[in-house]
Order: sequence, then C-alpha cells, then structure tokens
Amino acid sequence: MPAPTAFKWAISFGKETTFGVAETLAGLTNWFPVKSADITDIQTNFETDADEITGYRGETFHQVFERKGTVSRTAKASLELLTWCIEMSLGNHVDSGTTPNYTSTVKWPTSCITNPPSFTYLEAEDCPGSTNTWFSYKGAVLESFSVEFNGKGPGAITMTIKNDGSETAQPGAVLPATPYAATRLYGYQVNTKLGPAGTEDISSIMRSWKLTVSMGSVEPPSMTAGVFVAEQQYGLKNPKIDVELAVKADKGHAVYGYYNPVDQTTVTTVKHIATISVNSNRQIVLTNSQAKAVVQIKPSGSEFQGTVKVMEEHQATDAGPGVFVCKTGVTAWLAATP
Amino acid sequence: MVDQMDETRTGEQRTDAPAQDTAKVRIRRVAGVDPIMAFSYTPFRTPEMDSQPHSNAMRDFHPDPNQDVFEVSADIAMAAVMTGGFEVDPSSRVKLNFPAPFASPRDTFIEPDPDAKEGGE
Repeated sequence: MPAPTAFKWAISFGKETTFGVAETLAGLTNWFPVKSADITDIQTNFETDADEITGYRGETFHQVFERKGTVSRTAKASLELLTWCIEMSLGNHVDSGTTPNYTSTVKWPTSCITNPPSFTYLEAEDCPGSTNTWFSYKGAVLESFSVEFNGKGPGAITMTIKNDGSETAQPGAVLPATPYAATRLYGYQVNTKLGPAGTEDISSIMRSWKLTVSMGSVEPPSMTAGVFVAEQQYGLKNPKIDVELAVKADKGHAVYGYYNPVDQTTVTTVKHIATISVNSNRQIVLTNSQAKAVVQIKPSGSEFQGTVKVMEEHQATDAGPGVFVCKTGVTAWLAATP
Repeated sequence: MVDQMDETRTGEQRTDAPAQDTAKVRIRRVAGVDPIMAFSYTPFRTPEMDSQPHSNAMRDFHPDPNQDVFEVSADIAMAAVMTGGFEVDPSSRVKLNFPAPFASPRDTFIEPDPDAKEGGE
C-alpha cells in the first residue's frame, strides 16, 4: 500500500558534469525531510490526428514526442538546504575555509552564461518490498525557490524542480538511513538592515521576510534525438531575486519615506542586508548593495504594517543584484560528478 | 602556425583557431589567505560549446586542498586570481586579460626574441 509517510528524496551537493548525464547514485546521500510527499510528475506531449479528418470523431493514435518532469518540494528551512538552493540557482561561487568552517560566496552568473547547473535526485518509498517505487531523475534544474520566515518560528523553503522527463528505476539504490544533520533556521535569527546607508536595522519592527529566486528557465525548441529535454536555459534577464518583507510601520516611518520621500519625485536608493545567523560560522548573509523599496501601508490587526518589496538593481559592487555569503560546514559545493 | 595571441588582441573569432583554454597557466595559492576549496569560472568559448546543447554553463574548479600549485587553462586562471586566493606563478609564461577592476594592459605575453636588436633591423 502506498505510504507517503515513507517518502524520501536525496540529492548530492554536487552537480551533473553534463546536463542529463546522471550523477553517481552513490553520491545521492543527502536526505532533507519534506512536508509533503510530492513525487515527480512526468508530463507527456503527444502528437495525435485530432487535427486531421480520419473518418472518426476523435483521435486514432497518440505518439509521444516530448517528455518533461516537474515537482515542488516544501521543507523546513535549514542552512544547508537553503545554501544548496542558492548554489543551484546561481551556480557562480567561490568556496574557502578550513575544517570545520567554510564560506561560500555566491554571485549571479555572468552575462556570458546561458545554462544553469543541473543535478540528479532520487525519490523512493522506503518500505519493505517497495524498491519498485525507487526512481532517479536527471537533468534537473531548480526553477525557483523561496524561503520565508513569519515571526520567530521555523522558516519554510519551497522549491520548484524541473527535470529532463526521464525516470530511471533504481531498485538497487541505497537510501539514506537518517536525514542530513541540517542546521535549522528560525525567524528570530533573521536580522535585516534596510536604508540608504545599509546600517539601518529594522529587525525590531520586522514581521516577516521572504526571499524568492527564480531562473525563469526556458526549454528552447530542441530537435535533438530522443524525447527528453536536451537543454534548460536561464530566462533572458534572469535569474531574478524578489525580497518581500513586512514591518510595523505607518506612513510616518522612515521605511515609507524611502519609497515616497518628501519631494515625491524620487525613490531613495537603499541597501538591503539580511543576515540569518545561527552563529558567526553558520549563517547566510544576503547583501543587495543597491535597490529600491516599494512600500505599501495597510492595517493589520491593531497596527499598520508596511509591505516592502525590494526591487533588484544590478550593479558592479555585487556583480549582479546581490551577493550571498553562506557559512556552513560543507567543504565545497557543486563538485561536478560523476 | 596560427599566432593565437594576435587573434586575442584583435578580438577576431575563428572556429578553427586553437582553443584559448589550451594555454596553460601556472597558479599558486596566496599564503595567508583562507584556502580556496572551489570556484566557478566562465569558460572561454569553444566550437564545442556552440555545437552542444547546455554547454554554456558556469564550470567549477575544485583545487586539491593538498596542493599549492596548479597548471590550469587561462579561463580557470583568470577566475582563480579574481578569488583573491591565487596568484599567477611568476614562472608562468602567460599574462591574462583581466576585466576591471583587475585590469592590466590589454595585451598578452609575447615571448621576447633573443635575436632582436633594439630599434629593429
């Protein structure tokens, strides 16, 4: 009997050497528990004779000509899974450090880059006799991810993954026995600075903070042999970053003033620096050195709240709209495998 | 033999020219800097990239943590130096064109002709 409670998925911290060439199964050892046992949905494009007059009132055949897969994942926020999302979305990183503390600085892909990194993942129901539910998926890209904190509690990560449409039975896979020993992240660990100087700490009035990075992936019309997706590209003018936060503020607050200053003809250029810190060696810092804040004030319960959207602006300081500095215990990310 | 360096200087593209990343550059770790464990680089364009789908992605170099000196292609060397954790070994015979703010004169190394006389022939 299918049992969603037995669902596991596993990834590596590496990437595919070549898009669509699966990583080694033995490397897929990192299991991050998810909130819902969503399994990969394989979509099929059929060619039919629905647009031809055949003497019948409907199709007489269905020919598969293209397959692609998608899945969404929701998980509690952790330092390592969030860093993996950042690395897999942007793919441009420098890792340094010594045991046990490593720093990965992740920037936007350069303007000369067309394709995002890709990875392989494993899905399975870990039940006796259920090896026929164990499948691997390759040519996967992280179409988008978001991480959200509301109040002091645990953060939530949502991921949208696309793969090349293939589905490979892996009855011989070795599933991780225990989840990855992840460092959980909480709302009370988020510190936010927003203002012209980048030193204006608004943490004391923060209500929520949400980050979304999307690559706007595009599958170009491909005529390569086979029915699977041959290439994923970053969308033009992508990846994009969206930061949305809610603060206790009315129109008299400085935060609103950044959006609509007294002269009403300009919008103040601000810096946004968000630090999610467990300690000085386990943290993620997002710096947007230049941005605009769009602020909408609305009543919420017994207070006014400002919904602040940090509009990205690409600039030389960040070599893009922002820079992530991720401090974890992971030696190096995105090692090409196999 | 095609003078690859001249092509670099004039910016001409030739699909039959030897790939730029065949040039090897010796780099070494900068002492006192946190050791670099991995970095991404933008590969120099090659005919292979134009003919293969999904070949134009950031690539990664994972230097052996037990080594300090590496002989790498020019695209890797350029990214390595920009990390701040590597420098070009002085014994290496290739100079690199760095983008600002690492700009150096936009020239490439031309091995001096030991027979050349000052002022030309």
